[in-house]
Amino acid sequence: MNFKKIALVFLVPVFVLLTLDRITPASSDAQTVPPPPPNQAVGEPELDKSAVSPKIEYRLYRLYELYRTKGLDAAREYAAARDIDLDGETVRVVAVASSAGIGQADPNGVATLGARIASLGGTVETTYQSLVQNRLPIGAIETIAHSPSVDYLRLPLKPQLQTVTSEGVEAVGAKPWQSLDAYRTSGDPANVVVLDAGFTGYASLLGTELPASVITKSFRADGNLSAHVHGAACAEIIHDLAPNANLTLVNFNTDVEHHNAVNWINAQTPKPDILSYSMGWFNSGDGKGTGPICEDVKKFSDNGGFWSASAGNYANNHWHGAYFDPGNNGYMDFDTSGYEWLYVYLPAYYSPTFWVNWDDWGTWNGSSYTPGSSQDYDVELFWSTGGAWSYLENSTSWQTGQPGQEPIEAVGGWYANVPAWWGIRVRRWSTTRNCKLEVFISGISSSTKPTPHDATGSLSSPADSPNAITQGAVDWSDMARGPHHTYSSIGPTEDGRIKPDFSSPSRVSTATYGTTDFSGTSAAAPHFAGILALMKEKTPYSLSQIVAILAGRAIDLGSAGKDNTYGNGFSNMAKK
Amino acid sequence: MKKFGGVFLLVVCLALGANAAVRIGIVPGFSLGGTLVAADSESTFDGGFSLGFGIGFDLMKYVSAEIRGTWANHAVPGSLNGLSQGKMTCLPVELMIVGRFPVGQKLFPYVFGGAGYAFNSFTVETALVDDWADFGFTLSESVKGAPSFSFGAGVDYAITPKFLIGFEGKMVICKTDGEWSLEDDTTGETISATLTGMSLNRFIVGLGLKYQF
Repeated sequence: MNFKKIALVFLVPVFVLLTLDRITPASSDAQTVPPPPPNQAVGEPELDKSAVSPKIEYRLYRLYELYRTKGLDAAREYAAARDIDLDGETVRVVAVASSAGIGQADPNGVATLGARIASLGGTVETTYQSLVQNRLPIGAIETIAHSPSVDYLRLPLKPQLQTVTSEGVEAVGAKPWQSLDAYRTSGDPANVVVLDAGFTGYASLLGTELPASVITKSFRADGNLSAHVHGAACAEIIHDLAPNANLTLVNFNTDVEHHNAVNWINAQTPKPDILSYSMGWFNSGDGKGTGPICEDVKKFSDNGGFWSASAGNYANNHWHGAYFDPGNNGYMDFDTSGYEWLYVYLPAYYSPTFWVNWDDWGTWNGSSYTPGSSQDYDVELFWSTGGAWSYLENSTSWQTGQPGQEPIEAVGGWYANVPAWWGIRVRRWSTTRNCKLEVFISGISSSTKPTPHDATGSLSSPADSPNAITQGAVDWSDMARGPHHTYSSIGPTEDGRIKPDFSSPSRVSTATYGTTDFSGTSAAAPHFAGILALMKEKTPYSLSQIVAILAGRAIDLGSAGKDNTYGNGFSNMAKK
Repeated sequence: MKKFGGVFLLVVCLALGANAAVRIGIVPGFSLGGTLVAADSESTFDGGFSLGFGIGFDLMKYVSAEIRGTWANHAVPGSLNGLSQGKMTCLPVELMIVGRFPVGQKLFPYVFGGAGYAFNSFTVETALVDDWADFGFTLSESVKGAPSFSFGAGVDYAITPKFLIGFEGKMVICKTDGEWSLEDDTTGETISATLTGMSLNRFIVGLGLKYQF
């Protein structure tokens, strides 16, 4: 057996992050690649969709089923491979509380739901509006989902760190600015927040790579500020550019914690001026700048802050297109050749996850999409070493229009100990129209393209937010001519807006990651945040004026004017 | 300056027409630094050289009318919310009423008071302008003209029947507004503000030489 399910709790995104520039890319040019498998599969889906509750996300239901039918070890194995927080026999889930029948005392239904969770042996960790993040005994999943106090039960969303793996200070022309006397400002430093997964090692950098003191706050359920090293490198870059800036380091792990973190940030005095955000989310919004994460960006913007967001590193790991099934067999053809798989060839030990969403999000009302999705597609995951496709798993959440149901599926959490083809099929379960589908692949090299491939619109959320200033990545040494890093996600947004807004330096040096070892749009976002902080400190301009000035000074790359690859161009503070 | 010249000629014509005693004087001196007050902040401006020129004629035996312009140049050290470092010039052109109190034939103490209009200007330190120009910005600051009021006292000593030397002290009261702006040369993005209620009050002491006919 070539497959093993492995424990990868917390490691999948980290692995993506840390290896994209360090592991030889899975290039079909570099090795002998067998031809793609024929357009047929062996094996059958393991689960009858009719058994899946419409109120439970598929992966969570699958965990419950494994626990119920095969025991805790099987559930642990499944959870570990999918970054599901299973501790003992409790799993971290997010319950969307139902407000039906709830009175004034508990308008969101959160208290009622909390009491119900407690009665089943669960523990509420944190809440946000109608979302209740809690640890729930696995055995209680179906019970709580069927409670009238619950609209929908799902796993927490988790961000992708935008690192593929600073010269940027010189590249953007910041060095002379640092010694310029401030005009018409007191030179008070800007207040910059780094919102990230973690800040391992930040304490040892205080006074050298970071300011002598910083404010820290963890919104993780375990309070661990050092859950990841990524944020420390981002903070370093901001400090490199704006040495006087006040830094606040905030980390989180789930979407609910994210919401609470942003609320806390907005409540700080003095108000934060700038937020640097080198993270991205899949399956969390419609790509039109709405959704729970974009809503947080909007709240920060409404509070007067400027959010510098990474575009994402998924231009190569992306496809989108309309559902197309000329054979009418219920399986989508990804192109006109009649082939029904979207596939990628990977070296051994890669663990890809395929994130699929489609354009049936409904209308964002500020806290959720309504109505729930009613266009139901499912996704199946296969692998092959050259023969037929072998079935691995599927994702068959219901989309029947009920509250909380979203047009998303995800499959992954497997690895092969030999090079192999990995592919997905999209099955139409129940639809009334051909939706436009989008696929992101995480857990693979940022240079690896699936077949077919389409980079257009490969922005992760909240890079699509109109309230975010989105950063693409250009190697700092290529600032005058480009090109951009091919992995750097490009626009437009689903509603046709140009993104990214700027391109900022990548492949830079930090104490955290080493010499020229911090790449990706993760590095780009803090560069722009640092630029904003420095110009705010030195000039009397408002931040919106500074952004306009930077748009005019950007080194135009690619097509003339603002475009969906480079935005306004390479970020540049120098006189043009 | 045209206004000043016009008023000057008018006074001369009136004086000659009235066949009154006419007194022309020049008063070099030193203008003592004051406090610039703009909005809720203030800064100082340093003392500087001043030069006054006036012409007057007697209305009555001991009362005369005088038109006087007093140019003064001040260095401004600069402040966050006031004017930046630079040079400020003030030229109040005022109509004065002078009361003279002769002591004997040669000593003429006098007091005076009057009002007029101050022609003010400000030039930002070149280095500061150049610094921002290097970064692609045009920086400018200005002060506006404004009504001015003066009063003071002095004493003249007649060296000859026609020539007098004198010493006087004068307080100039002037409140004006100013502006600053910073413009990005690439985009034209401009930020500017008005510096309201800047006090240009200052005290001037000077030695005068006057000729009367």
